[in-house]
Amino acid sequence: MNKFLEIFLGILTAMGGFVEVGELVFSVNAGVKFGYHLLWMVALGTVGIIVFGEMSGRIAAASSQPVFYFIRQRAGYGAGLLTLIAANVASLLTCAAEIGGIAILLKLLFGGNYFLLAFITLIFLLLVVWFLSFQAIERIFGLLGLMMLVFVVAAFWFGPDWSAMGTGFIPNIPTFETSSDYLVYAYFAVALLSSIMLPYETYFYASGGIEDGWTPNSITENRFIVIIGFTLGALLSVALILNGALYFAPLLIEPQLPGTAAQAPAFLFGKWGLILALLGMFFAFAGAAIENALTGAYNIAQFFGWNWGKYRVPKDAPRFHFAWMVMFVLAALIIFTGVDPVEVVEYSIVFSIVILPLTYLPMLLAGRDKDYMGPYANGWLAGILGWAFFVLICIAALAAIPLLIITHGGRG
Amino acid sequence: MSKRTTHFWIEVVLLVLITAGIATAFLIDEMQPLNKQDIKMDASDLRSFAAAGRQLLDQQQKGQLTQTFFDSQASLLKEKVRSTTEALHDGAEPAAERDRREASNLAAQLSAAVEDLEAGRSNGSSLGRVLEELKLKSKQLEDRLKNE
Repeated sequence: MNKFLEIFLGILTAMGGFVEVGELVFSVNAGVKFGYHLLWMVALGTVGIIVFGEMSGRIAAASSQPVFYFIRQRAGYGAGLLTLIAANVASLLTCAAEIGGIAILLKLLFGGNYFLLAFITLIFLLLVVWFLSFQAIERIFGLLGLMMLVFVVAAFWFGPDWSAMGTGFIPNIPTFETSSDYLVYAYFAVALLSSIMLPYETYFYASGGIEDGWTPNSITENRFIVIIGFTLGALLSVALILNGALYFAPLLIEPQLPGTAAQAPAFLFGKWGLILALLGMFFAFAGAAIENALTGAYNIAQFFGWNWGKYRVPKDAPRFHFAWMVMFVLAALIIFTGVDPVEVVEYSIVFSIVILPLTYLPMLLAGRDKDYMGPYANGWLAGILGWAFFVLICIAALAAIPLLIITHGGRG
Repeated sequence: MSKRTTHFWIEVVLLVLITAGIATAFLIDEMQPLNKQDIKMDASDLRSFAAAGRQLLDQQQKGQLTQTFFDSQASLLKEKVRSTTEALHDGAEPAAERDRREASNLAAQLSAAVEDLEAGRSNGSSLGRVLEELKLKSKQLEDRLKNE
């Protein structure tokens, strides 16, 4: 019974923790600009994150070794160090965007000065990670992030065209008036893929498995959690696209502020819809900020072979604990410069896709290695899907920055 | 120097060159005078901001929003409009100057309307009408520039 409860909570946590500020912004705007046409990218990205999430969890369970251990082993010190720097810059930018997003949400909920609220957010996050256990953090923020389900209810309340929605899940390129529209479509496709397959998710998931004491017996649990949890999480992304297509597009609004998304549930359910949406976003963004700060610390500690883990008291892993605090402080400093968090999101998403191949290749190589994995090495399905997605993310990584520049960040 | 160290430095140099190239591309893009494409994007932002303001007002009048949300969102919207208005003060290519003036004029009107929104000066339904009109005018400008 305990096992079932564990899996059930794991699934809900994976679902509630699926969306962060980047995914929110890109999903709603993808719906506004392209209606149902980019739903297939959510489906594709979700299969991708399931493949690599399952692989990283299985590697952690079978070998008790985290992702960055393998990156250093497989890629060597030099390339490994570059991957570490790139991965941590991406995590830092994502963490900064989340902190800025949280400060905006607090302003919308309680009012006040944005910079003061960003500072309060920093203190709040530091205290949460210092005082709460890994499991408590995972559960609290994952489960309370489920308040975002109000977007799912809203999406269905708006009455989507089911047939067009079904067609949207089939890969398609709509007909546009100008060539620049095709490039914007490609930019949003790449950004959506990246926002779903953010590299920190696999680093964090694998490290979390080790924090939770996974053993080879946990491999089935791992599969259930990633397949069901991430699929249900993708439902939130689909719902955000539908909110964009059905509510904001007819009004000619392209939401550039994170809080604007909450106006769709407010339209249907009044103030309670608004508050549920804002609180759900708050917990989802805070969860993502914590995951990114911890991921930065995990990566560094694992790469350099330091003691690491939230389960270790600071005295036993001082450099690890110092590292996540530094991540939070640096992320907050980025926000204190006054940069728009939504712009930070754009760069973090595009930067993340560029480093995805560097992350997933060592994982693919480790996952198929029978010396490390024994009987738990990649089977034919994980192997085929893994390599197929690797090719796909390499193409996306090459296209991401040119598309960012040519389309002016998707503006046209 | 070992082969491994040489590879490491080659990777570092490549990374620095790529980063510098991207930064240069952004800088060059920023320093260019506004062209019709830039003004189209600003008109698109103005259309979206005017629509967002209109919707914010509507929802507030229907009691769907909290007062804090309305005040804060209006103030964030004002910042966004201010940023677009400032971008339109930059010089434009001669062929785009007339469009820049038109967009700048719309931005000034929208700034005033969003200030009224933030200050709660809705004057019955007149502010809603102003925002709706600005949305439509911005959309017209955006569509015209798109088709040119």
